[in-house]
Amino acid sequence: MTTRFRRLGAACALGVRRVIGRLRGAAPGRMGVCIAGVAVAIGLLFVVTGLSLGLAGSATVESEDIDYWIVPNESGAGSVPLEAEGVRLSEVHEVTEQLRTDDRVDYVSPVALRPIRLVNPATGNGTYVIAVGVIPPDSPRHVADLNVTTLDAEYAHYANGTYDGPRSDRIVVSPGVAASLGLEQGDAVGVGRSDRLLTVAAVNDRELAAGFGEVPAIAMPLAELQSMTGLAAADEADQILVSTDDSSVKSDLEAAYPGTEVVSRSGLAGAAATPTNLPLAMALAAALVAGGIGVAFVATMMGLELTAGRRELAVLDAVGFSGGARALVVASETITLAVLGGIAGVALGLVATVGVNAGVASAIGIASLAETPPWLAAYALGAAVVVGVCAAPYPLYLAATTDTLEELTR
Amino acid sequence: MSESSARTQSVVCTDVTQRYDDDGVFSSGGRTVTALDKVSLAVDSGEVVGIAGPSGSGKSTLLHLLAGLATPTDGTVTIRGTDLATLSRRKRTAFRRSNIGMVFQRFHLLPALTARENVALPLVQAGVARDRRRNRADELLDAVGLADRRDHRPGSLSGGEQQRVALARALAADPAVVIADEPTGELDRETGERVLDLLTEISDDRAVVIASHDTHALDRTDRVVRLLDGARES
Repeated sequence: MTTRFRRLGAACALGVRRVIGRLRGAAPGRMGVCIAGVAVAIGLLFVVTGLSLGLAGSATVESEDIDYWIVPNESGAGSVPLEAEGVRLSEVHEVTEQLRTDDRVDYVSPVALRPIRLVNPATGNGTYVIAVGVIPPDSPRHVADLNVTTLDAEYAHYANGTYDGPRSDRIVVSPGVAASLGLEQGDAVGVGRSDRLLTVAAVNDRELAAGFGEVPAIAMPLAELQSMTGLAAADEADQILVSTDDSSVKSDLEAAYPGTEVVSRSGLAGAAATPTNLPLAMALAAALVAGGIGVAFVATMMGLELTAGRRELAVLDAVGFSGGARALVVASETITLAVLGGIAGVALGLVATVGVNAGVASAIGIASLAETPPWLAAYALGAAVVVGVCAAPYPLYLAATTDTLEELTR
Repeated sequence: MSESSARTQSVVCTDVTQRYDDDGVFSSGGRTVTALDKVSLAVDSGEVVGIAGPSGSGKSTLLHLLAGLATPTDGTVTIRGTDLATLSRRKRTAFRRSNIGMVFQRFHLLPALTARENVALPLVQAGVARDRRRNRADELLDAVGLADRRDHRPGSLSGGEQQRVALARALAADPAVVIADEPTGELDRETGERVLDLLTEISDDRAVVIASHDTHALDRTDRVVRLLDGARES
């Protein structure tokens, strides 16, 4: 290591050492308050960003395989979209057949979302789930995060609109439903108080994320869901999903169904849709607020610390620390404070996230609303470093304007 | 002893004058104050020189000029043959680091650091490796009788112990000149005596300049230069 780098490293280490020394007894008060302030700001950033991630991840019922969604235009007064229990589309199989003739379309299916109650006949345990009705695909595909490939591809129950064909009674259950009811592949599960039994064709590999968190869900053939929930009479569904690699399809889709609108993945989708920019805006706002609070805290407290301790800077000058080295010590101290606040903030954020999730779970029954992926901690610490860097100019200014002789003779 | 030959002398001040502007906050204009007026002084290596004088006589100003913390308005300050006024501020700081050790009346130790870390402070900027810094600090703390207090912070040391740590810090870079400003001013007689013992012990191979009001401290020096109103008393 060259002398120059050793000098720089030692000056930085001195800054760190001085902060730790103060915390360990020399002057813990101001340092502690400063760290607590940054911790609150970074904790806030952590929780709100976690919530944003949770919302962004579950903003809409979407699938990587689906490019466009035909959804009811709620402001439209067209006769085709029905307006009972919210706006739904009717005659969806017919429209789907028309769309399927387009070579540019890879997959098309109406999607109905209905709450139903499932009961494990073996244990008597029951739970409400969102049943997602789709036309089973010919090739592997996820719809609404559920792998619908294992549903019966013959789709016999629809029977050209008569709804008297044989039912497959096969469903795909989300892991949460399987765990809640104690179901495994091949198990039978009852529907409400009826005698009807469905068969678990597969347990999905992930939860359905919709609206404001993970939702217990199952997938089943659309026609069977329509028969079960009274949607068969007008052949109703909530939306039509169209998968394609060709963006020129969109204009044709817009003309295919009066009174509807076509949105892409980045737009709105479904009745419970959330604008995808909202979580981003929340995360950005959290970063700005936390950054602002953090910078204000660190700059103010370091300013107070330096004002009270200017003599120490004068001593550093007297023992041979150059102006640059003293600035490095001060910058190192400022960033160290911010990073310590960041570490405390991550811990605080984790605790707060657990609390928020527990509160939300008990209040509205959605588990794990706020997410805490490992990189979030690194992000929060990175934000703390940025806070330290942004707060440094004021302490550096105070250090640069310290009059060594005045301080040593005071 | 001659005060004109810079070749063999560690410290040479020649006709040093220091003036500064009084801002005149409570008057309509500022005025110029002469803190030192054509003061000359030479200190040999191995010599302990006392600077005496009442408050405001210019003792501290002279020490600050000797340490390169300020540059004189007129005249020259030469340390080991180097005219400090010819150095940039940055080079003067580096020069001070290697050649001048300072001891202050109020010790001026950094409270967040241990005694060992305080002593090693001048070596940090000298680019000395950490292990060597520690060894040097331990060696000096041992020399001033504080080997068992090296991990203590200043807050848990007595005044005499703090001043001994400050003295060890002043010696860390093995400087040719040690400047002490009222080194016994905050200490009781017995503790002050011990610090003076150390200051005279270290003068074997370096020049030591002590500014003090304490006649007992001045009695321990080889000779005393007296200042009055910024000028040497004849």
